[in-house]
Amino acid sequence: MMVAGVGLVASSMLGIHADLPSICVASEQLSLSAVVASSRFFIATNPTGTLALAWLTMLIAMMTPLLALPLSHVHASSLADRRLRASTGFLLGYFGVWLFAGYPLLAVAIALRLLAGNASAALMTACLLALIWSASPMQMAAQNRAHRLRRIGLFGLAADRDCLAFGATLGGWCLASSWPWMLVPLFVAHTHLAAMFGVAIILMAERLRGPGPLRWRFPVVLSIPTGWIRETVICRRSSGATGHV
Amino acid sequence: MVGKREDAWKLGAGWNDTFLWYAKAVIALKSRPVTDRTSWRYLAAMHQFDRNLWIGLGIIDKKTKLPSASDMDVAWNQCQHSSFYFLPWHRGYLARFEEIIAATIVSLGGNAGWKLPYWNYLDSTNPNARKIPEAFLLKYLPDGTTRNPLEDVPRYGQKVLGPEPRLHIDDIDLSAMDEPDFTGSVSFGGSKTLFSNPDIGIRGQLENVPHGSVHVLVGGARPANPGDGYLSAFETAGLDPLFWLHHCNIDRLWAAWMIKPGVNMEAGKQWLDGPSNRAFAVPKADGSGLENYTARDTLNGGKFYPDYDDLHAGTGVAAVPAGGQAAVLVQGPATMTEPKVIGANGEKITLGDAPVETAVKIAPQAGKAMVTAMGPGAPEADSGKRTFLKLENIRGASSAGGLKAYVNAPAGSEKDLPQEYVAGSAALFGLGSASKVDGQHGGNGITLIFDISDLARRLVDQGNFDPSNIRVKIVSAHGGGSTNPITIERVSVLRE
Ligand SMILES: [Cu+2]
Repeated sequence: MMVAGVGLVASSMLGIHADLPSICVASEQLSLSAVVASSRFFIATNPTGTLALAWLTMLIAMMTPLLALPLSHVHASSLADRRLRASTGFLLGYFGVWLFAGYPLLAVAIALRLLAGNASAALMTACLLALIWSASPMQMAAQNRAHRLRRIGLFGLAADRDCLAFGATLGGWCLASSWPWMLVPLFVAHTHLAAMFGVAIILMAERLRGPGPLRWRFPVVLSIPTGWIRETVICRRSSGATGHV
Repeated sequence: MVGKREDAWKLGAGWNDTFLWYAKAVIALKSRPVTDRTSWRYLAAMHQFDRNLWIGLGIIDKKTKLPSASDMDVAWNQCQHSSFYFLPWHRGYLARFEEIIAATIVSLGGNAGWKLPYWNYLDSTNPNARKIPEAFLLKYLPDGTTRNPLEDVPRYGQKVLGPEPRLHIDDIDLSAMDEPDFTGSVSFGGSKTLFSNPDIGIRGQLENVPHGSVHVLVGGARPANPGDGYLSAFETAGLDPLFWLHHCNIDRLWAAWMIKPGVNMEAGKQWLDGPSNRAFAVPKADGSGLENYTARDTLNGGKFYPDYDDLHAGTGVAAVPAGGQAAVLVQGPATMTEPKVIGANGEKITLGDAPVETAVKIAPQAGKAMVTAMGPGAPEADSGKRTFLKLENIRGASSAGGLKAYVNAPAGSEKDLPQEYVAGSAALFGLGSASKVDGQHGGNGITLIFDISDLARRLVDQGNFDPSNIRVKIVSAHGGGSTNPITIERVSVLRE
């Protein structure tokens, strides 16, 4: 909880949701050079260290709740006196992948911003993209693979390698499964924290839905309200009333 | 509620009333379209459904109209395995099945109050106990012309339960009943998981033996048998009328375990009112809709709490002597401390037809402590600690099969590995389904835990136990053979 809180505050330093530099607004059409130039400008005006730190804290805030089960696998699979080291290796692998993904994601965000013309159109497009992605079998395939467990060695460097590899693989599939949602908070200016929190809940709900066969389906975010209704029915029913789906 | 669930072998030989009406009801359910919530196929798909597999087996065809997507999302593909939800989910499933059969019997002109019988295969006082009840083996109903639906299913395995050396499955027994805790990585009921166990799930001891073994022993599996029967896979198990009698006995073993003195029943909210990520659902008895339930509904006082005529025969639970005290159910912290990993092998195993040996190394200090604790003069508290061999994430494409593990078996005994070195054996019921990446179970396969406390103690006594090099030999037989082998992520040693 502490980590998540600190992350929320620090991530608001990531100013991509503010209006992008004028160079973007000027370019009528999307071109690779415009994206590159804008990205360069953005990175130049925001120190890399700060940018990376802000991105990382945002990730830690949003992703940590998703890692409970994989972390417990790492924990339970390691010798008692190596558990901290093993968890650290796993987290390095996991967030390492996300850290490197920051740049391509930033480029996608800027491209989207250029295409859309203004921040609110970019936000709408990102949300739509995320909804379509959530409904797609591709997302389901990535999500399924983000549940896969692999061996964790017990001794020496082999154990560290296994933890790193498990973290990195999981991070990769998490990224593949949730990348459009990660764009959304970047286009929200005033309620950035709320947007991040909302996206974190959506990602949690997607993971909790669990694995399943590949097909187009109703996006989880739209079924969250029904889930809540079902939950209340269960609670009410266990205290006497009869339940329906 | 009228009547109680009874022992199938005590209902009378051959076509007794209970089985004759069951057969008639099954015929009726089979005639209903799969979209009907009280149809035979809808009820089986609630366990697990695979469209292509069902088409391949001729259960449905390409044009068969399936229920609505929302019906399938809520009610199909629910089976809970390798999870502490295994017993309560199946209990609700059985109860509603029983009600639907009973209602159908009434509609066919029979008496009300039909109860699901149980197949009491481990009742040592009954010489017939291990035989499949006769009515499930007869080709025709008493009229001599109507095909018997209780027999008319693919079963390739045994008609009398016993060990199956060709699949490396040992004989079934009641050792699971000795587990003191309902929940845990080593437990009676399975490990704590979410719905369908997508992540970390470990089979409870009861789910392994006798449950999984009976599934595969009767269903049969390649290469020992000419095919994999309906009972051997999650997707088809519910289509065999015997499935329900088998699970009724598993359910009764749970009920019997509950009256054992000193057992620790699960009482957490996640179990009682969960799962939080998807609710259990059954059709209403008249098929007019669906209805949710939780584990709470399957306990005493709940709508799905069953009533058995006897909880002692074939359960290993002693009857309370006249005038004695009834057992008090304890709902507290687990009896056993969660065992910790102290050793593991060096790499992932690929297992075809040939046995594979892997070396497990125990961390030096833990190994030393373990040997000392087993030697003479060890403190009482340490000598009682249990040791386990864990086979993690067994994955494979074949629907079932079997596997057996040995510890420190003497070299040169490959052809005929001596039974005294066996760590444990398991039927791989649902292997293919549990290993499918794009399926409900998350593709993490089956994880097994064998109690090797006695074996390890014997090996230490013999001077045949080097903690830095424990030789684990694993043999397996399954449909994939060497061309489509089984993999095991890790073999580890755990200690309390
Ligand atoms: Cu079963």
